[in-house]
Amino acid sequence: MTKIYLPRETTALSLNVEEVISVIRKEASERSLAIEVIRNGSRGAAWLEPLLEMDYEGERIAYGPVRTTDVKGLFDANFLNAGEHKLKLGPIDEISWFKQQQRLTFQRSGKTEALSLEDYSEFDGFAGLKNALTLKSSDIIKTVLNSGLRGRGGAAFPTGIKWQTVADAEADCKYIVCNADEGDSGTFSDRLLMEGDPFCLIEGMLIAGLAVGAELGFIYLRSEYPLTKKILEEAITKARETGYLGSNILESDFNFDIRLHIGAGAYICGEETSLLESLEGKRGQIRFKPPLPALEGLHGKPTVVNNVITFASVPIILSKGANYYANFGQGKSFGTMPFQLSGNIKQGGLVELPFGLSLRELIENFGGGTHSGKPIGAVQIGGPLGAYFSGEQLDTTLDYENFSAAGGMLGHGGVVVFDDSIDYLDQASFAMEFCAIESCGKCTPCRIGSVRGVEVIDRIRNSKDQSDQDNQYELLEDLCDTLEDASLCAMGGLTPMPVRSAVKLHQLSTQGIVPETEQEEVQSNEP
Amino acid sequence: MLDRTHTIPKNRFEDWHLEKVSSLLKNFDNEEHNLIDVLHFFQRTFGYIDKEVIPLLAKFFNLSRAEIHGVISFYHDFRQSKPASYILKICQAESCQAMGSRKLTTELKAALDIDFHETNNEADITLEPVYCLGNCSCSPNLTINSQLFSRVTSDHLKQILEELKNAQHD
Repeated sequence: MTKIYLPRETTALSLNVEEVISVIRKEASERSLAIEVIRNGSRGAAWLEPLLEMDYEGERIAYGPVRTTDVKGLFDANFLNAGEHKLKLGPIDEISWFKQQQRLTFQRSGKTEALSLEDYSEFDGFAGLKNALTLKSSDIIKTVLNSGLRGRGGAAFPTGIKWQTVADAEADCKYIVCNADEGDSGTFSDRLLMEGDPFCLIEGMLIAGLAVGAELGFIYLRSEYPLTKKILEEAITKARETGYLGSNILESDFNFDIRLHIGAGAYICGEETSLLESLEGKRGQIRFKPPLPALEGLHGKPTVVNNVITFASVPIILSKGANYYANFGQGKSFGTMPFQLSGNIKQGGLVELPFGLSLRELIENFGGGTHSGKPIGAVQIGGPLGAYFSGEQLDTTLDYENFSAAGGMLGHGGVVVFDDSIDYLDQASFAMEFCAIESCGKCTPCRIGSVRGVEVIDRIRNSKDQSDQDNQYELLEDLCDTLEDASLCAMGGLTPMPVRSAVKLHQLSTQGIVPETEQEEVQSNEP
Repeated sequence: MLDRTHTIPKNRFEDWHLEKVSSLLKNFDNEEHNLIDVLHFFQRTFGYIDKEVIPLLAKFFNLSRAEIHGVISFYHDFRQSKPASYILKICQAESCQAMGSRKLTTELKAALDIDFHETNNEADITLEPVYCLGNCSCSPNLTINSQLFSRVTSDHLKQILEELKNAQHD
C-alpha cells in the first residue's frame, strides 16, 4: 500500500485536484496497485499545485504540478516507487523553495493530514495548550507578550497587551473572536492555515480563552471560502467529539467552545468593530473607538479580536517558549511572517520567513520574477490599502517599522506584483473606487470622498493643459488629507496610501519628477 | 484547454412562497445574531431574498422593517431578485488585475452583452463582480456557482461560455 498525498485545498481544487485523484484511483485499480490517498493541506507552493507527494522509504517524494493527462505517464514511470518522470521534483524537504523557509506557524500545513488529530498531536499539536493548562493565566499572557507577537491581521498591535486588557476587565462573560474575513487582495495565508492545519487555529483560540477567562469563541469566516467552511466545520466537530472543545478540556476545569459564523461579502467586516456588529446580526457599520473591543466588544463584553495567523502563532510560542519565537525576526518585528506572493509572478504562493529579508529577495528568490517575463512595474504590499512600490524600491527590508518608514505598511503580508504594463492611474482610481464600493457609509470622506476621488483622477487623466492638471493634483492631495484625517477606520484612513503612491509613480513615469510636497507627504504618512 | 471533464452544476432554486418561507423560519432561533444565517439560508434555498420577507423577519426578530432591509442591502452577497441558473462572479481586485482581469471582464461583458448585476436570459447567466476569492497566486480567478476557475485566459472563457450554452440545450 503506497501512501499518496494530495491537498484538499482551494488552489488545488481550482486546478482540478479532485479529478486528478479520481483518475489516479481508476488507473491504480486497473493496474491492481494498492494506494491510499491522504488529503493533506497545501505546502503553499501554488505554482506546483496540484502537488503530489508519495511515501518512499520514509521520505516524501514530490511530483508536480500534476494534471489529469499526466497520470497515465506517472504510472508508466512507476511513480509509486519514486520512478523518474519529468514532473518529479525529488524529496520535498530538499526543494530549495521549501528548504529556505522558516516554518513556525505553518510547521504542519502540507505535512499532515489536515483533519487528523493523530497527525496533529504527533507533530507538536496541543503541546502549547497542555503547557498553558499548567500555567497561571498571567503567565500565559506574559509568555505571549515576551514572544513579541504582534497582530498579523494588519494593525500589528502587540497581542499580549490586548490579551492583558481583556484579562484585566471585569465582566460576567468574555469572548474570543477570530477574524477570518481575509478580504485583502493578494492574501490567502488565513485560508491556507485553516484548510491545512485547522486544529492549530482551534488550539490558539483555546489558549486565548484560557488566558483571558473566556468560554466561547467565534470564527468569522468570509463567505468566499466555501471549502474552508467545510474543513472548519469538520475540525470543530472532531475537536468536540474528542474533548478538545466543550467542558473540562483535557480533564481540567476549563470549558470552551467555538462557533463558526459566515460573513456575507463585505470587505469592511474585516475591520474589527464592523466584524463585531456583523456577528451580532447587524449591518457591518464600524463603531467609534473608544470603547475598545477589548473592554466592550461582542454584545458589549470584553472581547479578544485577533486574526487567524495571530491565534495560530500562539501554540508554538506556548510550546517552545517566548524566547524561541522572539529570536526570529529583526528590530521590533519578532518571529516569522507568512508572506504571500501573487499577481504577475512566476512562482506564487505562501512563504513563511523571519522578518528582515528584502522585498527583492522575496520576489526574485522565491517568486522567480514576473509571470510575463517583463520587468516589474510596481508591487503593492499589504492589501488594497497598502502602498505601491516601484521596481527601484525593492531593497526595503520586510519588517513593520521599515515599511512604515518607506511610506507603506506590511499589513497582512500580501505582495502583489505588476509588470511594466501597469497603468498607475488606473490603480489609483481603483483604490478610490474600491473604497466607494466597500465603505460602510459611516464617515462622509470615505463614503463620498472616494467617489469624488475617482472623478478627480479621471480629470487628471483627461486634462489637456498643465495648469488644470496641477489643480487636479492639488485637489486630490486635499481629498487624501481629508480621508486620512476624518475617517474613523483604516478603510477611509488608508485609502490615500495606494492612491498617493500610485499617483507618485505615475508622475515619475510621465514627468520624471516628483513635487517636493509630495515627498514630504509620503514620509509623514504613518499608518 | 481546461483540465476538466465534469460539467458545471446548475443552480436549482425553489420557487419563492411566503408560506414556505414562514414555515422554514420556525426552525431558527429568533435572536438577532441569527439574522445573517437566516438570510443565507433563504438565499441558498430560493436564490434570492424577496422583499416580501421583510415584515415577516421584522416580526420574528422583533426588529424594525428598516433594520431588516438595512442588513439585506448592506451585504453584497444578498440578492433581491431571482438570478439565472449560472451566477458568474469575476474577480476585480488587484492581483487579478495584474494578470489581465480588466481585459477579461471587458470580453465577458461584451460576449454576454450585459453589465455587472445583470442577467443574460438567453445564456441563463447572471454576472457579478467579486473582490478577491483568496486564490491570488493563480490569478485571474472567477467562479461559476460553487466552482472556482483559476489562471483563466480568454480562450478558457470562450470554452466555458460555449459549454454553458450547450448545457442549455440538454
